[in-house]
Amino acid sequence: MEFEIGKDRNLIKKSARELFVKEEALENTRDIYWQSGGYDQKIWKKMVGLGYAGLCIPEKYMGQEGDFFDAVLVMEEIGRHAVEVPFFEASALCAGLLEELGDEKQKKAVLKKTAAKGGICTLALMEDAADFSEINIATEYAAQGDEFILNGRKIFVPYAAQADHLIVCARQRGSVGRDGLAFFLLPADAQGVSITPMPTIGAKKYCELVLDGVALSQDSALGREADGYTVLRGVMAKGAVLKAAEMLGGTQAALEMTAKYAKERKQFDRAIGSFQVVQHKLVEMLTQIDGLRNLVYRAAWKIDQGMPFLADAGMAKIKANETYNEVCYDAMVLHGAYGWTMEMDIGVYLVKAKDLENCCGNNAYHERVIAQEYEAEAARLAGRAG
Amino acid sequence: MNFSFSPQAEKFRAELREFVKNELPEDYISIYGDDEHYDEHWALAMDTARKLGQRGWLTISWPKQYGGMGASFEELLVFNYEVGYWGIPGAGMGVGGTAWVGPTLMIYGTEEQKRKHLPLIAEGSKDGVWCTGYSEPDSGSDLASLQTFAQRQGDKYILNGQKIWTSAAHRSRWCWLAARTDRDAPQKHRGISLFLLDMKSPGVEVRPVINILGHHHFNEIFMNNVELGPESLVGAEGQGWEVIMKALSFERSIGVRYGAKLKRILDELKGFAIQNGLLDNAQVRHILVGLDLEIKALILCSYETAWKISRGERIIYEPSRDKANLDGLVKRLARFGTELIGPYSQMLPSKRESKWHKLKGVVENLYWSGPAINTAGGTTNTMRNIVAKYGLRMSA
Repeated sequence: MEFEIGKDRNLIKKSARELFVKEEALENTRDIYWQSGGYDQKIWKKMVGLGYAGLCIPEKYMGQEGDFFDAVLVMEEIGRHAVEVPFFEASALCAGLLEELGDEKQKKAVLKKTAAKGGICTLALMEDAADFSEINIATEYAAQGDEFILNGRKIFVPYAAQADHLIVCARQRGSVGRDGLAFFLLPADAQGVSITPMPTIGAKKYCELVLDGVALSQDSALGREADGYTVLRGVMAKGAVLKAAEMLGGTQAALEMTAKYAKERKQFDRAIGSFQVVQHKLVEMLTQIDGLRNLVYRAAWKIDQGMPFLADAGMAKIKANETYNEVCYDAMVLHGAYGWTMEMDIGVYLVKAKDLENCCGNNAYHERVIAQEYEAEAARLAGRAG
Repeated sequence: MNFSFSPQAEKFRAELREFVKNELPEDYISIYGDDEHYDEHWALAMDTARKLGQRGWLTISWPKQYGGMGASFEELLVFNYEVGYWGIPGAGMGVGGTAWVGPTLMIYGTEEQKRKHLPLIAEGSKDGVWCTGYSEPDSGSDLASLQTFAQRQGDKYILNGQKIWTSAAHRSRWCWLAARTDRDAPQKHRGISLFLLDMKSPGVEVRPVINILGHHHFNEIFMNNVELGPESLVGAEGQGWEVIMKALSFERSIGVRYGAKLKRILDELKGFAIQNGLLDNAQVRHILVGLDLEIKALILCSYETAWKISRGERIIYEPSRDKANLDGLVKRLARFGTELIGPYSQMLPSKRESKWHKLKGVVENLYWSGPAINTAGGTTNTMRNIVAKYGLRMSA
């Protein structure tokens, strides 16, 4: 048992933090949220130069070949400084999926571009049902001659408008439930693809993606032999841990700035932080965050160890959803009316709450997955006893 | 980063589970505070303590010279987890014997005190059973206001006063007792000393306080001109507060044992939910999974605290954080559990073998005991004050 994250990993974390502080990430994000939209191109460019964009990409595609835990630590710092960059989408989630399913040509085309140039690949999963259920994927593919034809509509696709490549999850025409799910890699400017930004609060990164008779060559399919349903569950779980790490960083920042504010802000001739009612609220935040950190790190550790991780990932995300909403909401309230303005940093953190909560599974989704794990475990034990 | 236990610790876990299978009644499940109530439960507790003592497990992490095995912190964590999960009775040696009397004596006790008391605890002897005398009728959370007075006479002390809420005092041979030795100390907590009181001393009277479950767990202790020899004083005269704070930090490090106890109850409820097809209900899933992950987080935080201590780091607020967190989870789990078993949750807790009791009464017992768990070892709000002061550097 060892809770120290290690020297090399601390270095990854520390240099990311230094970069985000030096480049005033929070200020840039404020500008992105309230004015310009898009992502933090300046910081992303530096992250490419420093090797962060290719952190988890193999060396032969110009990456650093880091493990999942490394990506988790970078996500934590991204969350702490409210950085808006496509690291999660391109460097972590899609890079992992390509590494798992892609062939040499696909990896070379996408991974190298991400690692060396900050090229963006993004994953299109969600559809109108918006319930995260794998079986509700309706976007279809059908073989036609030596091509695949894709039809359907995806929503909440991050950075689709800025992306070079898209990975789309679709089902074989006529298939139902868990069967027939597959992934396709396509250039974002493919014929028949139309992308419309969605007017969300905070980062304006989400888009609607319409696939209208998109014709793809055979080699666009990712991992033809893989079971799409199992892959999708794994992707959702890994994404959930990465997002939970981002939320961990965000809640730590929210607690620190609120504790500082409570020590400075005076009412009734004393710091409001001297009142027990305020102190106990902050203590509750600290307790929840310490628990969240252990759940996130444990899930990430399990992933790198090759252990089963679906339930651990889901628990980390549910804890993150709960903690993030509670901490950031209460933190804003403790800032009083000032908190509810664009002036204060805390608003930037709260504005991300619903994006983070809904990315890679809300509570209801993960509770369903975990309940299935419970039942499978009970059946295993009963089988052993019988 | 490594969340797994050493092979040696896992081997010890397997041995403990074998012990549970062989030495405890089938499907044994413990509840808070009834070991001290029933004579037959107490007999089982003492019998089990002796068996654990024979194997050196009762005080596994203590140095060998005091009856321990000098085991690693990982083995101690395994022991605490398994004791909590299976409810192994007798492992506490009363209330505090193994958890804080022994460890605090190792720091502040004289060689003579250590040689006398530590082996008795380690062996599981009935003379190594302890209770803890802190609270008084007018001194609860404000413990430093306590009035029990030990008046110095030559090299002896004459003790007068009253303690209350003393768990297991009627089963204990010794009391770990806080008393005032200087009524004129400039600060009230500077005038306190810590004593080892032999419960068989003339002038000590124990009276039962029956709790709402009908159990005799609490007591009052009346002390009337009790004579204490110089060998009864732990640390220096007036150093009692420091000794108590150390002992309390051990007492509040209950996240693993109690977390495991909650995990056991949760697992029972999980089985109940699966058996009754309740996992199809989104509300049940929501609460069950929420509790599962919170208990996991509590246990992980407690492991982390133990790991820090094993590296020699100074721990101040973490045990209080975990105690406050535990208190909240007790309430959540008890409320959820009693709702899940519904009207059956109102069966009499002390008759839990009846055909009407679900899950052997473990859920409603947790519900009724919850407020006591919240209060024991320092209230939830007191814990929060400590975390605010030392964890967040907030001033009053």
